[in-house]
Amino acid sequence: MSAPRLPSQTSNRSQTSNTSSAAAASVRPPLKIHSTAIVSERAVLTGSHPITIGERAVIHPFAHLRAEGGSVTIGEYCTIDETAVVGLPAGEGGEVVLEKGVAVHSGAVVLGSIIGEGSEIGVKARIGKGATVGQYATVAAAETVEDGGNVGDFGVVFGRGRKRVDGLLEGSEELRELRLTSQRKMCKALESLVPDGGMKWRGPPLVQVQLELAPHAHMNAIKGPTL
Amino acid sequence: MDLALPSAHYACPCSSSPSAITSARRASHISAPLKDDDPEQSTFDPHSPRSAYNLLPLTHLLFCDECSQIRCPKCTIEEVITWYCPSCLFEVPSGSVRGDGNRCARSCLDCPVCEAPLNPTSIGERDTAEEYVLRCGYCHWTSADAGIKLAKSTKLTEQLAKFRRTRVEGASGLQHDDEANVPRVAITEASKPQPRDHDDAFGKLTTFYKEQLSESSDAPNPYGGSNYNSPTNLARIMGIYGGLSRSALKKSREKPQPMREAHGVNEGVATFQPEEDGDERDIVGKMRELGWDDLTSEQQQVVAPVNGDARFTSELWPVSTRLRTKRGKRCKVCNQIVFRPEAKPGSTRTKVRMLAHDHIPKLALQPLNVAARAQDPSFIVRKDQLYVEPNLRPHAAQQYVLTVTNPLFETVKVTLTTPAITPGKVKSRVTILCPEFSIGPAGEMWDDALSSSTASTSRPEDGSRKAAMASLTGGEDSERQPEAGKVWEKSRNRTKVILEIVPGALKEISIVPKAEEAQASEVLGEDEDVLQVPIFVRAEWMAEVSHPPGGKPEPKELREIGYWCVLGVGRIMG
Repeated sequence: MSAPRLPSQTSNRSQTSNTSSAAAASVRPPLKIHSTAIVSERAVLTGSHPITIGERAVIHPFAHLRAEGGSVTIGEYCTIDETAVVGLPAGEGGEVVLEKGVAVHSGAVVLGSIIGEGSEIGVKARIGKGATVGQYATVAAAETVEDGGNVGDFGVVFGRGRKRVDGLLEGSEELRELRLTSQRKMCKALESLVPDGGMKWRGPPLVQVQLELAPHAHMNAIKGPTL
Repeated sequence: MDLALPSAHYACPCSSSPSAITSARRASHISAPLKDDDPEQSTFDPHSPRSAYNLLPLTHLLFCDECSQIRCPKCTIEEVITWYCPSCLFEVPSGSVRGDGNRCARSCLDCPVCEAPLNPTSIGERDTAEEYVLRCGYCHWTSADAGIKLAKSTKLTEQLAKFRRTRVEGASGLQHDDEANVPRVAITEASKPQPRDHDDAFGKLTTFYKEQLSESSDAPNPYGGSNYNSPTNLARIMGIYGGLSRSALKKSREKPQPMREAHGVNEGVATFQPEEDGDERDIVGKMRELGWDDLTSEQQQVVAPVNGDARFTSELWPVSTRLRTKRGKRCKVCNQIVFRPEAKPGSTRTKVRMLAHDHIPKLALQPLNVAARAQDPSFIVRKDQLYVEPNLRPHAAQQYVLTVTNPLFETVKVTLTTPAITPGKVKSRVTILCPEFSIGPAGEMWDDALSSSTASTSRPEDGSRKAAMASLTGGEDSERQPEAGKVWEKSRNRTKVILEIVPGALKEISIVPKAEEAQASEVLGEDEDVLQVPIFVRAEWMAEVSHPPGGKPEPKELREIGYWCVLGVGRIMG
């Protein structure tokens, strides 16, 4: 039994080339995924604008990165949970940037332009189009930041649109660091829990794979080289 | 009353007439025969304004087996079984609930901004001693916002009380000296009122009034110290013989001092003190500077007495978690327990649960014609699933299957009665083809499936001709036509009968022109066009009488229950 020939661009997670980029293809948007990032095989990445995923970020199964209206940038140590949607739909222009250590919980919808470092977007929360969220801010579960709205640094949105500023975080560098550390630890824990999509995102576009190889070959490629 | 049709609502006897409860109290407790001439048993009008309060779905009703009646939330009394803290699940003894102010006296604290529970969080720097703040996981309020930092993560309530005491005393330390004696006019800058602790003020007020009461009440009994069993009696006897001691005589001659009201801070009264250049102006100025979000809301102020005076969110104090109760329900008439949860706070089980659902036959209506069947409104869960209300054409006769289910473990004889023409402005004609039938006993869930033939288990015991015919005609036959006096279908604890309904017209056509008043009276009110059929259900069964274990089993006893059930059929089209 002969092992199928693997495409030369294969970047298995052990053979680290820092980023693996792929040319624009019809099946998926142009991706720039850091080799240590984890993008689940069942995650949904759509659109034609580029998607960039930073170091050790975790994209859960069924999380939707939607680069239909503009590019999507996920910073390092970000977590995008199940059924969360990040990015604008087709027909609406504008990019979405998540800075370092942002946690987007399940069911949240992020259409806003910039989510600051260390922020947390709660379950089923919604960040409207063009809205900005400052650093270390928290949008509690099911809260809404309206289109073009702004949540300042250390801001907390809770209780049906009430706002306050987390004075403790604002005053203590150490606590901010603690928050980032806990997010890093979360990413590390998820590393063993969420399997990476591997070839599905890092290999060449699927169209090419199918042209070069036997129909079933790319399945083996995902599992890794078999000898 | 909600109108998801077809519906079945049950009338609680308590509200059918205001005297129902008192008459029920007078009546003998079990199997009081239902009198036909009783005004309470007159036709129930589902369209009368009163009935909106009477009719409830079966799931909202309880049952009192002592009075053998349905009990709605209005005719039951609630009683508190236990108080507990929802946060630590500690069961608070009823004696100490009031003393603790209905709040948890242990380390359970809630956020004063959003009411979520607070957790102690360490904020100590690496090189300094450990420090803790209370932090809310939802709105991120921390006790550091109010300037509270704690040394330990345990005994929070004690630490907070100490903290508050030092703060209050630090602020108003000067005014503790004999302020009550200082006349109002002479209030100087030094004795300016400061925020005081409510608990402290309350304590002072209570002691003051207790003193006043004891001073103004009767002189203490002079024979209190004697060996005689009843000092009051002794005092009375001695009074007859004129044997009063010198001191008692002296006291009785003295005029009793009138009770006076508390005034001054030392007696626990906080009064409004107008200040020339006082805090008020500062507060108003501060309010002008700060935003809306920095001011406390009314709810935040009233949620706990600690925050009653807080005007700014920076003054808010952590609130002790409010206790919850577990409540039982008793019948208002006979005080019988109809619902009682287990006392343990962690448990969700119940000890006594007398649901009407388990004690009275249940009615359900569906059109006989399968195509006309509306979707059960309770199965609509998504927004995009449209609820189509069943519409009825006037004067078009329709047949309906009325399913009567027996929850009891005895065979029940059911008699259904309904007015031939429905009450209300729209006159519809209703006929029950088989108003008298029996329903088999409810058994184990799988009895039906395990028994070889349903006919053998569902064969009625009364041996009536109708029931026998019913068992013969029980087979599934789509060609079958409903017949008068015959049961439509019969299974183990369920009997189906046919109801024939001719909906009335919304506007009666008449050749003779009507007077204006008559026309005005014909204008239909809200939901008057909904066809609702009141049915009086009377069930009879032989119940086993409970006897002590080992005792002689007593003969079975006849029991019966009667109640009005209103079936919503559909909306009549205009």
